[in-house]
Amino acid sequence: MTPNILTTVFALSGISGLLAVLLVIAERFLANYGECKVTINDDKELIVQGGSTLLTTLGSEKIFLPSACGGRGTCAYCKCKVVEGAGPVLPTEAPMLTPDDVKNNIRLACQVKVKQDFRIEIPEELFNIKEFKSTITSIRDLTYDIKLVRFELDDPNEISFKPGQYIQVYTEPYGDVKESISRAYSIASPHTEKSYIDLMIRLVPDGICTTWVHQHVSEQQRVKLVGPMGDFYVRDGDGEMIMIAGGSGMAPFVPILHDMKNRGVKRKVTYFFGAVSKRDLFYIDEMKALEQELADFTFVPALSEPAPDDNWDGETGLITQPLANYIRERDMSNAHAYLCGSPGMIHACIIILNKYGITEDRIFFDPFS
Amino acid sequence: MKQTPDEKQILVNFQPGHITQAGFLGTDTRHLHEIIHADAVILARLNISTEQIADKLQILLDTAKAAMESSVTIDDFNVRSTWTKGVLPCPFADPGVHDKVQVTVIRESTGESIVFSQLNIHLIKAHGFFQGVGSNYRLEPEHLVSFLKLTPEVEID
Repeated sequence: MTPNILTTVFALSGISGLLAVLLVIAERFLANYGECKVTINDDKELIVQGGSTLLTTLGSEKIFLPSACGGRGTCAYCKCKVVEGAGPVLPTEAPMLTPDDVKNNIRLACQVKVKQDFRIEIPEELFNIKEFKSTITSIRDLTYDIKLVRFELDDPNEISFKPGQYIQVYTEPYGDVKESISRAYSIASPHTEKSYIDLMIRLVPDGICTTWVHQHVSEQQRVKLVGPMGDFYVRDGDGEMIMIAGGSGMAPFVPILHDMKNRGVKRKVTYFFGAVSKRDLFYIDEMKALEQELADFTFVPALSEPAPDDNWDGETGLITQPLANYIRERDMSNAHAYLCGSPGMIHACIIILNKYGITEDRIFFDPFS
Repeated sequence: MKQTPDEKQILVNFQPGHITQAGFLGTDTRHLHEIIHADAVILARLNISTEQIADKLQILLDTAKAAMESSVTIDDFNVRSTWTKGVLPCPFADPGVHDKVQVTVIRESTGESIVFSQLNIHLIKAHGFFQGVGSNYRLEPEHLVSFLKLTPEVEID
């Protein structure tokens, strides 16, 4: 009996070992896709080692597609047109693709793997996205939960961006966090200051990146940044600009307003900023200074729940209230609206804007998600 | 317990530093399946479904979101949301992402409070997962049922 059992055990072990060897060999030869050619916009050609996702492959060539979920296939920010080479839509990307996406060969770059020659089309502005080595040189409290963090750029040491764009911050491993992750933040410094960028970072409960910045980072920390990205920037026009923000949604409007000041723009601008109480307000002095420096700029902070000792005599209520009160009395037929904040705030404000004549084609927003 | 490679990958998502800083399991050393099963047993005893809980939390979440970070009262519940930048994927690798919304609920008649996130609702509704003991966003099913004043649904023949 015992010899039979031993024979069976040895036989099974042998078969398992053989299968493991076969798997290693198969991986070595079958999963080795060799060199592949990636042609971008029928112009630029890259020779790359096959086998990685398109997102990773492009990243290793310093071409950065936006991505907010770390390649998990859940944010769909890395959608791009793959004209040739990607094969059929994968089950992991199908839920994130619309019928129009599929029809137009739009794929998730983080899911499709480069196993043969690829032809892709990406917006030209993505070539302006670079990886920066930077050093944090100052961290300042704006409120109890928002910090203004300055990153001096080391290599390359200058950045060009459109006021309103954002950049991705890469964390270092800390505590139980064993991997680097990236998160996107709007640039809050004037675009004329090319040697550094400021970011307004609000502490997110249990957030990996914001906990790192708020609790684990100090000045002189080296940080990898990738950017600039995004299409939230001022469009040409003569009509009034309505700006609406809440919390760290203030960030993109700082460089936008400084740019308008520097260019001597005469457009009328009214900026509604929503906060709960006075302790959530910041950059008040900066905004008051801009009211003096810009041709026709008005800053309208509104508190939804001013504390008794706030002694607040400004606008009160949800930001939709002063917004509605203001635009219902005016001709908004040429106005443009720019919004940055939580999707809930943006959705509520868009309803008001539509109601009083600002159509969707004249509304631009940068939602938090 | 043997696990497929997919299960192993999914379990990684629950660990600290992958989707959230603190992860979803807290100090709980039980396997994910055991955590879900134990909470399901409690709900079965109370004759309350995960859908009932998730639906009630959804009402509180929607009310809080509409108030844009201000506090607002619905029935006996005072709710306030904090909506921060970014999105979270489901650790079970379901498609889609969830806004980073945290809601604080105070029951005005008792002064008791709970905190939950938008992702909590999905995890409860789709997976019966209330998170591990010691997790920042663990919701104890029995306490939650009592807090939300849920009663068993009566079946009408």
